[in-house]
Amino acid sequence: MKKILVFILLIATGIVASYAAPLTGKQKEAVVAKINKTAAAMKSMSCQFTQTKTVSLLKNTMVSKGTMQYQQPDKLRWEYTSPYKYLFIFNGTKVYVANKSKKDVIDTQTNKMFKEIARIMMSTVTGKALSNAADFDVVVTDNKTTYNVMLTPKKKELKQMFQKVELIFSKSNSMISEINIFEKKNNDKTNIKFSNISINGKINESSFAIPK
Amino acid sequence: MRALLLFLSSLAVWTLHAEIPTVSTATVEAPDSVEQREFVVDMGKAHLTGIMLTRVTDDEITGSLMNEFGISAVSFIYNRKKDKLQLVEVAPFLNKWYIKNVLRNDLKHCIHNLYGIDCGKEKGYILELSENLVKLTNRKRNISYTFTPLQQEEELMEQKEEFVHHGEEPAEDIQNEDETKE
Repeated sequence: MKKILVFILLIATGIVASYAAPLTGKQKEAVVAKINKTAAAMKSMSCQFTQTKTVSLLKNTMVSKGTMQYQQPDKLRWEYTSPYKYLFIFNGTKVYVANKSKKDVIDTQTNKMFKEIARIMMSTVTGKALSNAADFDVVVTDNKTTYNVMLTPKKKELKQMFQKVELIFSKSNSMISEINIFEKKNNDKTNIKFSNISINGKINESSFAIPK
Repeated sequence: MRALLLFLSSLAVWTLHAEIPTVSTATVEAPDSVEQREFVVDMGKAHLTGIMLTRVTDDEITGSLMNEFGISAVSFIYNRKKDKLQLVEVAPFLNKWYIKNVLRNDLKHCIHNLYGIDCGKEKGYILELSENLVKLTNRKRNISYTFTPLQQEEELMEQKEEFVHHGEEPAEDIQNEDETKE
């Protein structure tokens, strides 16, 4: 009987150990500092992404693909190329959104909400969101090859949209490799995987040009 | 306005009734398949865009509308037998009883016309059909709903190859088109 109990205890310990526990205190600070250092050194970034939206009601996923370009401090181009065309450009004080039939230019000086959206998009992509205590509660776990950062929104507008946002950073280069967005009221999830990441390369300024 | 901008697209729906002819717009799809469409809701000064997914079965049409970033706006189940549309999930900024009432009716009429469901006279809408486009307009409120099927990647590649073969330029990207016009 004793042997069985010891055996069960060993199994249970193994199971518990396999779940990554959240990092606390100095461990968390060290990881965040590492990610922040990488983000600060990143003058520009370009990559491709694959977005997979899980729609629980339809028991189906929707896959879309695109490209992303970022330039410090405040330029972001997020473009869907398949199966639909949709473009989002943030360039300092203006946001441009366009699809095949509609185009809009929004001035973020007068529209703070769009400014917030763009800022949060850039901060999650670069990892700067980890240090933004005003926007999110941050929990960091250490997995084998990645740091998984769970962001729980604090602000009302974001809380209405998201339950939480998970950022997955590669341990090898402290750069973001994946994002999971968990929606509030259902089991819907959006997964974004980044690939062909290029850092500090030259990006044509016209990529961030806002049409008049 | 804040909520609409936050989602980058959303639905704000009004309905009014006027007579329109019933036109069959049945799509030929394999049973229990999921269809993908782009939608545009045009309200004059404002407009909303996104993607609609629908799953069609013999008994029901289940659908979900979301913006291009994948953020859900509305999910619904349409019961064919009862001709009744139930809103399953609604984004917080749409979660007002008066919005949901009209949303329920309008989506039902959209489904009628997208799937060729004949439910007699449908007052209040103007229907326009073209090659791949279904457009339903609320006459009094001047709000239109336009649906176009999403082209899958394979189809886009085939089109590109066709353009190259004939020495034509493939479809321009959205930003460059504006730069050219300038």
